[in-house]
Amino acid sequence: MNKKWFAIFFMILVTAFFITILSTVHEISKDRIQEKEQIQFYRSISYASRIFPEDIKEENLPASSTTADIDWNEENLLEIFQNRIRFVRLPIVSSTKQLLETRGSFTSDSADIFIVLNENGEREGYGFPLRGKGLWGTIRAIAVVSSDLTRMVGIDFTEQSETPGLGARIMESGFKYHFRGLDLSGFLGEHPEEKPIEMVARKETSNLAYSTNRVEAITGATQTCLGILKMLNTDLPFYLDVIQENERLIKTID
Amino acid sequence: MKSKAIDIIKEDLWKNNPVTVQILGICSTLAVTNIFLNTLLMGLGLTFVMAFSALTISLLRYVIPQRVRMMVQVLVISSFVIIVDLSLKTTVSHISRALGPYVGLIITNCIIMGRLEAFASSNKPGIAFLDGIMSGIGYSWILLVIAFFRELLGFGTVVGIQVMDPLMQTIGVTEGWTSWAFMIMAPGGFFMLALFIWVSNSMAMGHRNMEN
Repeated sequence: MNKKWFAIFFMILVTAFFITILSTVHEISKDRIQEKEQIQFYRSISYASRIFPEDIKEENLPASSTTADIDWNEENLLEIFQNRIRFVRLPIVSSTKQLLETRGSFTSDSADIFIVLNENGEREGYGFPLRGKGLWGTIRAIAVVSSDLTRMVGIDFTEQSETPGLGARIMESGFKYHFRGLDLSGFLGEHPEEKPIEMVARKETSNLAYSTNRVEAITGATQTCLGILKMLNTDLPFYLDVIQENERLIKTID
Repeated sequence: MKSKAIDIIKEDLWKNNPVTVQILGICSTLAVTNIFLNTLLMGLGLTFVMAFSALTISLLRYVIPQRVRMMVQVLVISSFVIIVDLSLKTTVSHISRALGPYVGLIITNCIIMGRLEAFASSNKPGIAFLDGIMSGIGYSWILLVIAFFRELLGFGTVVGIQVMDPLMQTIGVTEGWTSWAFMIMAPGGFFMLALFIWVSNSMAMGHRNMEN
């Protein structure tokens, strides 16, 4: 056989062989991966909602730890999830829709959020997904805000492809802890002179101790931090508007 | 055969180590070594990919056309990396998530391509497989030493367990350990790697002088 044609034939054969192997491995592992991803999703929601296993205190977690390091019993996690999290689909009213259309980001007639309940079944906060751009790719997160919409309860990043050791450190508790208690009044027009959320180089006290609109950035990950800032300042007001506009509907769910 | 195997072990682990002597795989060395556990998994993943890619390329060495050999090598490497990725997602999904793009980065690790081209494509399967394992271990142990010190100084922890705070409090420093942020960042990786290369090459040179 001609050398050129043999090379092409060989390449096709090897590619087909490895595609078959990979497809088989993928098919075998698909269900298990989905199941694991679902558990990861529950973990993220719990972290953002500041729900931890009974014997774990967030303050004692190392700054480098991630959501995955929290030692959850899967049964307990599922139980908490069933008792304290309620998913709802809220309609987007015409004024918000118009605003989205002008920004070119209108995609749907409704927004999916979840309601976080406390142990007594009372509304404690609202959670929703956020999406933005980092330095290398999409960053996805789950954010939870207090029921009066003035403070952030927490945030967890569910997807990122930032530089390991630099931007990828957004996954660490040390960074995410600054979002606990973050003042969101800038979005509600209470302090129009201030930027809604700001990133600063150094922040001595946590927002839980003294609530401000500031988050400590990661040194060496400026673009990632700016991406997160943009994501928050763009997506948060949208969800806050949708929740405010649907307050009556949410109360009926209670 | 036995002496060749011993030579390979010595070469890959020390004399011709892929990181300290051949200066290969530096990108991931700098990127992943700020957390010990991530480094360990990266090392295990790379060793698996390295060993089985070397075995496959060695088995196919007489039939791979010269003009497409690099394409075949990349195809083989990527396939094993995907298998590692899927296995991690199925078994330890939380660690897979924490690793993020680390696993995918194995494809771009030039140690693998380098060893396939330089060794596996011209040696028998058994010895190529051994070379793959040893190159992987040779890469991993250097990274683990660097990661140990970077995590210890940067976070005060060893495998996520806080050790420096209690140590500092024992010697009377009540504020505990002040983390060296520099160590966690890329410059800290450069610094540690350069230090390691300097020390290991000086030792190797001293050893050679003694032999002479």
